[in-house]
Amino acid sequence: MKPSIMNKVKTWIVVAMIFAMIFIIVATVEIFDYMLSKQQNAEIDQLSQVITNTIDNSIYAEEVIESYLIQLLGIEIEEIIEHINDIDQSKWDKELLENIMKDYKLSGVALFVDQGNDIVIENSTSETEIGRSTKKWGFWYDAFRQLFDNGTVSLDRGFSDGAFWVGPRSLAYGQDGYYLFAYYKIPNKPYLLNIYVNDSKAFGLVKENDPNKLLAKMTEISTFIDEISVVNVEAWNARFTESNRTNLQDFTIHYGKHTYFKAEDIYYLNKVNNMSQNESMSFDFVVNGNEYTKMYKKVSKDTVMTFVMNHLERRVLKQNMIYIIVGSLVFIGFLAFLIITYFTSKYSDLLDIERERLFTAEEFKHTVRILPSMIFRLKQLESEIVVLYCEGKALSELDIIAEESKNQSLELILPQDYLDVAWEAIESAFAGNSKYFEYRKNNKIYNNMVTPVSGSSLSENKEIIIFANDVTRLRNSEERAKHMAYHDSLTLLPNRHYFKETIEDFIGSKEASFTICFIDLDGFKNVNDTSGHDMGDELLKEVAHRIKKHLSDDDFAARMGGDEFAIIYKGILDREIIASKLIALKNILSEEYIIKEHYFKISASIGVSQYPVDGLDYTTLLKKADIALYDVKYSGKNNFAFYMEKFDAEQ
Amino acid sequence: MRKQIFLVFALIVIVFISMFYRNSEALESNLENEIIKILNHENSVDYFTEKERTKIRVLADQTKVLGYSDLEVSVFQNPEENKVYALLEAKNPKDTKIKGVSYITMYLGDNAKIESIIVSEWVNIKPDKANF
Repeated sequence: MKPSIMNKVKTWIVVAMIFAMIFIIVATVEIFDYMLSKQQNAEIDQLSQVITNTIDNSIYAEEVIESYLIQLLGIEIEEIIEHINDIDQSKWDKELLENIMKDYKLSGVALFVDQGNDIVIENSTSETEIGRSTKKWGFWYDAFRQLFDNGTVSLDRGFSDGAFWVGPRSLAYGQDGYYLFAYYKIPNKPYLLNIYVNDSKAFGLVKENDPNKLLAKMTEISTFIDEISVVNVEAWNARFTESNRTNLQDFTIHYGKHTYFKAEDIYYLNKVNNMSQNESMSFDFVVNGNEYTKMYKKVSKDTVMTFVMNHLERRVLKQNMIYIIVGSLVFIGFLAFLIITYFTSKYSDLLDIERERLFTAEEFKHTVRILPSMIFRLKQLESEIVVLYCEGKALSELDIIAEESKNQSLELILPQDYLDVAWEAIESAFAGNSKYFEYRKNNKIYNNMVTPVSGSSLSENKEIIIFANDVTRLRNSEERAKHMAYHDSLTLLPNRHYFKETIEDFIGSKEASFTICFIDLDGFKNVNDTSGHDMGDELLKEVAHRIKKHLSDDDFAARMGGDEFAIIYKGILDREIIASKLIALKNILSEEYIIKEHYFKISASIGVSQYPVDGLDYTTLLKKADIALYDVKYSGKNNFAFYMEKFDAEQ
Repeated sequence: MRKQIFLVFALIVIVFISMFYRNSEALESNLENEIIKILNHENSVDYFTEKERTKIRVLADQTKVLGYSDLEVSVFQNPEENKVYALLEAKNPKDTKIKGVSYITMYLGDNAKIESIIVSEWVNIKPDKANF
């Protein structure tokens, strides 16, 4: 598998692992949330069962007491009717009613009068009731109307016995507590007598186990239930989905509290009311940034229990679950890291060493690449020498491509002219001896060191290194320095030092013979003094040029200093030949010079000595040539003379 | 590698958005604003006929008489029914323990137009008192 594909696979594995971790976290949190939700629902099932039982017990007890109370009210109201029938109707005033209330220990007494299209409270022990219309009292008004019109109530509400009717336990305007309202149609009069009692007296025992207290206690204890209510769906609809029904006396909320009103209430209450007992529906909502669930649970006909549950516990659990899972994953990851680190520390060290080695090799390769050099590592096989490794900027000079040269035969890689000069050194290195050689190509000079690889086994693993260093600049500098040391910088002729070494070289060779001519220019001082040193320098350069033109290949000329020059005629001792050469030279040097449009005329005086005739060393030969020169100068200049012993005496 | 990391983050963002995104129905939102405008006797878009608008204005007048303030309206519609329910809640500045609750039941005709409404009267709710 290619490394790039491997890297892609690794990358996707990492991505898949991240997704898997996210999925695990989300799934775990959701599962726990679901489990808690199920647990809460189970708790609500149990609670609703307890509440239902409590309500049933309460209702049963209330019904017993209510039945007893109704009987009492029935007896009392008949007595009261008999009593007030004996009293003139004009005296049916508030005082009469208050006396009745006091005598019979009632909570209140009222008289309802039929006005045809309405039934109004004409008089009452409760001031706030007097004059109140009952037309909007729903089934209560229907019951009143039936009492007036039919003499009895046929509604499926309350208790009816002839002209006597008691409404369901209910509220009273402006008063706390629950009441039983009893009505009696006063014979032959357009009046209903209403007496009512507050059940706080009669129902005191039942109140000890009031479902409201139970619901309040449950709400207080529960960590997730904020509110429980038992809703009378029919009353709810009458109150909220019909116009002008605000003054109902029947309970909308049988028990508990209902303060979380939602627009969804009417829909869900009616939907659940049409479902089977204990079935439920719910929806989520948000108040002030807090999430809640409102659940509707069918209890009995027209009775639905609502629960408002906060999500605080679920949210805290979710947060804790996320902390636990993330913390566990981090801990497991850290533990895995420690374990892996412990068991792979040895390999890590090896990896570090290998990484360092690769880094060093890469640095070395980079360094070699930018140096004007090249390096070959060679290995001798049975039949050939192969290139194990080669690198360097200079490889391109030899048209060698490093990447293509590995494990190739050396003879196929290196140019033939390189092999010709390198072969001896290569063989020597494979024999265990280092060697150096120089190789020149394209005006470049390479100093090659060929050496065995230290540490390699010579018998089994013969490897050598050729390190070719570009020394072109070094060699050029050396040659330039040498030239400057041996030549006159003005005329570029060899200088006195070079002249001396040449003479001594000649003297050192067998059967050597040569003639030295020491030249001094006549009239040069005058040119220098009158026309300046620059003009004098130009004149000297022209003199040197004419001397060089005069020389043959075997001759040697040098500037000895100032206006003095010297010539060596190698292998020539014949004075006639020398004389003819010197006459020609003298004539050339005496010809007119034109320098920067100035005309100059000089001549040359030449003294001659010969080896080995006149001397056997440089000093002697030069001294004798100088003596001969002096003689020429003394004799009138512009001439030449061979050394003669008599000159010594003349001096 | 960078592409894959971007993909992971993009998917995480999509998951979170889909978890917390709640679609709000345009009709419900418009009706809330519309009812508040009518209650405040402001000019409104023609969602209700004049007859139905008058019913809401009667409630608005009652609101004024009862001294309610800080009206809040929320609307719910279930696709199963051709009804829209609006809950009106209000505060009683004289007695902060009492809040007023009223419902408006709206019956929808063809093309989801409101045909008729029923407005309940304000009901006083005492949060500290059980039953009502």
